[in-house]
Amino acid sequence: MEMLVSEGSQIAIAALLGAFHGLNPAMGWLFAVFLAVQKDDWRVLIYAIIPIGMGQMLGDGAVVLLQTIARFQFPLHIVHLSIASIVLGYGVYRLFRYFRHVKWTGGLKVGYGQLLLWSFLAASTHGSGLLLSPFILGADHIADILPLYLFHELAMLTSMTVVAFIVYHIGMMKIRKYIVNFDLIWAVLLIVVGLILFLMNVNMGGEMPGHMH
Amino acid sequence: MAKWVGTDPTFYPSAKSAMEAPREKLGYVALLQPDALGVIDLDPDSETYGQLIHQLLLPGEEEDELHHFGWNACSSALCPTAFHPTLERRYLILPGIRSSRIYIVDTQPDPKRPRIVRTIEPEEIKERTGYSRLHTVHCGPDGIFISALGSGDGDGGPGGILVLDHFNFNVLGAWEMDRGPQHFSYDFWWHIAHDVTVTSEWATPDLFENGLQLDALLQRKYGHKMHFFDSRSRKHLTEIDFGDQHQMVLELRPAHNPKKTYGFVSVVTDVTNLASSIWTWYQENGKWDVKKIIEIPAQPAEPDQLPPALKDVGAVPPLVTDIVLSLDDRYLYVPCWGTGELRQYDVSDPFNAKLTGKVEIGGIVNQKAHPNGKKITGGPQMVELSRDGKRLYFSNSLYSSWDDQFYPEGIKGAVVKVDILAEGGMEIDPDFLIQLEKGRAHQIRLDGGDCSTDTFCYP
Repeated sequence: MEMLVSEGSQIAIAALLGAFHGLNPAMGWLFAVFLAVQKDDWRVLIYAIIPIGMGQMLGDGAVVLLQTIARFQFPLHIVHLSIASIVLGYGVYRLFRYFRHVKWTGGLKVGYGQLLLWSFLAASTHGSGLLLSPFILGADHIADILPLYLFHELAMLTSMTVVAFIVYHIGMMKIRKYIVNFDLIWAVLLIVVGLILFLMNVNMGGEMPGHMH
Repeated sequence: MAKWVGTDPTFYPSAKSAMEAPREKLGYVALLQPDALGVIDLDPDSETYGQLIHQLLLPGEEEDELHHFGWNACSSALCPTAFHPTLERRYLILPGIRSSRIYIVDTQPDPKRPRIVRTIEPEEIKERTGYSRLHTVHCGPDGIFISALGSGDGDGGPGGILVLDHFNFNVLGAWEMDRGPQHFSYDFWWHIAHDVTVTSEWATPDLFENGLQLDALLQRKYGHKMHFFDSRSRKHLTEIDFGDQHQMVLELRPAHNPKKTYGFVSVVTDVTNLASSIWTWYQENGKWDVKKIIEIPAQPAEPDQLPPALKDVGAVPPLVTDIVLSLDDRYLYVPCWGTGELRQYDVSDPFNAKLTGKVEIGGIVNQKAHPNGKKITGGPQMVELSRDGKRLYFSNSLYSSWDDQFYPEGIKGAVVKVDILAEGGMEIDPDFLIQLEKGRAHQIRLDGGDCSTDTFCYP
């Protein structure tokens, strides 16, 4: 639990999770590459990643915001148990349905608005915002959460952009065998985080570190 | 077991990359009378090369009539909004065109001995989709798409497209939200990067199931249009009428390069002169249009050489009923089932096709033998091309009741291999001929995919 207490390591973990999230082809870079190769123009990568990034930030942001409001508006013990159950439950659900995702009916010939909407749906249903729940529940002030969120998103955008450029240049053909099963890994991560939340609850006797002092 | 790393090695981002795929080792072929899925050995290093090595007999008591079939998944699983890294090209989806039953056949663990893992009964298809008489299968983005020629009740229309879930094969329902004036159905495919789905028109079951109806044909009652749908809203956008003398608009072969907005479509017969034709459909200034690029004339013949169905017309129609486009969008292969020819056209310029090769085999009047000396009944019909574009395989039966009209002496099922020469032209491989003891052969599918199985999202 020690690592969860230090602010620096919290930010590092949030950023790592964000970077990992950005590597997932289903979260945006593949769409950006697709659009860029249709036009045969690398600049399209940038034009696409802007709305995709915004969609991701809004999607994650919505999930983080909901948790933050709950954390500071309602009794912590109940919120903690509820979020733990949601995270674990969603993880178990994803474990059996990891291969499915939001069915997108907006097509492939998309504008900025649709790209933003697609990205928002992909991010919010993916549960990456839920992975930040231990930090949100452990935070003393709302202000503590903001840097976590920002570094998470910044790392996500960075890894997404870097991968998009690499794949645009070397081609999908060369990297298809290195694509890991992100969806299954996310399901496992959600379950692990859900279990950590329950353990935190037991260890702290229902109280969070932030409430000890 | 769930896969942790890598996508199916037979999924390729682009048609260009798929051309580098390893050579096919096995082929699957739809057999009828009796209905079976045949496995043919295409590995030249194998002892059983060029032989039918297995037949999976279907339990449908001969009411199925196998025709076309396809894979559960293909390169479209690499598309960005329908990215499915865990899907595998593993199951063959086998519809019975007559029964409307679907067999889900697993090609694992032994691809030489596929086995039925699920059967979807006609009642379920009809009830859930309102369709019957299933035809083309495409592994699409986010599902398995199957065209249907008839409505759920009776022998009429409309036909359309239905969708199966590509993970559990459940029947999801009819695809169209608004079919507009579309009534006849046959083939379909899409310009995936442009969100456009195209469909073509053969006829409703009452017009084809008991044979070609010559009266109806002369009255121009078969399909003569193609349709464009918005793939997102699944609504009809527009139709193109080829003119009602152009009867039966069949195979649709959009350019494999997703940037392109053109494709090739075959028309069986022009009732004014019995010619078959190939047309290019294309988009210009946002509007879709078609242009005839190839016309293959009928060949005059003496009445005593002709089957009863053709006695009065005194000619053999080419009856082009399948086409295939190489993955580089360069060569279009056109089998003429009536006249017994296979033609190769260079369509690098899609509006200016150049005949670059021709082989003759079978045919109603020609009856040209295989180069190994054996007699071939029927003519080149279903064609399939290897991904590298170097080998073409074809079978010789069209559709049971139509076979009997044009080849009344009967058709003995065969699979023939044609070698494609590097700079155009082709030769029938004299050392390769699969002839069935019993039954007929229709569509051929190559393991790992071929030139009419996959949709590519990247140019």
